[in-house]
Amino acid sequence: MDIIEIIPDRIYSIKYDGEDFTEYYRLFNEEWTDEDYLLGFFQSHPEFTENEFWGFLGNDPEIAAARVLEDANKLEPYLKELAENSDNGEQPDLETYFKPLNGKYGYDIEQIPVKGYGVLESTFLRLYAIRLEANCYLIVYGGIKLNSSIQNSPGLQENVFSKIDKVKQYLVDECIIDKDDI
Amino acid sequence: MGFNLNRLKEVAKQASEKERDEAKFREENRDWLLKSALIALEIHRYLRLNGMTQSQLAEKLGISPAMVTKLLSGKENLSLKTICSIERVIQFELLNIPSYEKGAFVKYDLSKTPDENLEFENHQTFCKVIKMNVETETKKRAFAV
Repeated sequence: MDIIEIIPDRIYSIKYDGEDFTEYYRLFNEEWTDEDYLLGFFQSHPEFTENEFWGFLGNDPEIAAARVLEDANKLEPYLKELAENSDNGEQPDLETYFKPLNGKYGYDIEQIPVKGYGVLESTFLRLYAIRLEANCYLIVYGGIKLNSSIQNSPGLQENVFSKIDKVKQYLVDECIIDKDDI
Repeated sequence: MGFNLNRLKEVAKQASEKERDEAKFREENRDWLLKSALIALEIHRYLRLNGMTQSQLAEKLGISPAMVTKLLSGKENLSLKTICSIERVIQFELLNIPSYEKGAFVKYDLSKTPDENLEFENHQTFCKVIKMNVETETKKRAFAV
């Protein structure tokens, strides 16, 4: 596992063992901006584009894919803008973007993992990160959230918590977190 | 308590050259790449709703199946000629340019600065019309570029 700098001093991303690229690259280059990938994803999960959350899209995989494309193409420059604002002490910054990931990690006040959303009002996109300090985040995972909870969303349910735990352990092993803090 | 950021900076590596190059390419070409992908999705949708194969579409467009595959990749820098051919076949406007008749074009007042001209109501209308708006349009129609 490696930590890769995406935006200096602001956004880092994990690159998992066995993967060619970082999580950031996987999301913004391989998946969320790839029309073929997105269409395949929504075609393979038709039950979710007609559920109570996404039913308004009319079970139309192309429209769902278009929504993600537009959202991701707005989100990436938005993150850059937030990072610049963080550098300049302006608002909104990365602190206002990421929100605590409650639930399983609710007890962990110092190292609570965080989540970020796409920019559209109703968004499929989720980024999962660990807050390293104010306006400095390590992206651990991300994906398309098809349901109300991570546990009910394919792709997320198998990965979000396990990756966060794995990365936290890696941070301990590399002496980036004090062991007693976990 | 907390993180040792100095240690993190020691451990952190630069992104690979490929990742950096592709990030730069995305940044510089974002607008047309998005439009190309949305057009590809519109064609996919047309094929699905009309039960048409890619070969049949190629025949209708008078192009090779390989070219249709390229169109559907969503990464082609399409010419206006190609876009207009697709529009004729799918009978859906992919590029929505306002017409003079609708009075939506900007009428610049040359005695004013460009910034002052930006205040023109017509300009705002123009921007609204050309701005892709999947957010509000998705329910009513597909995705106008």
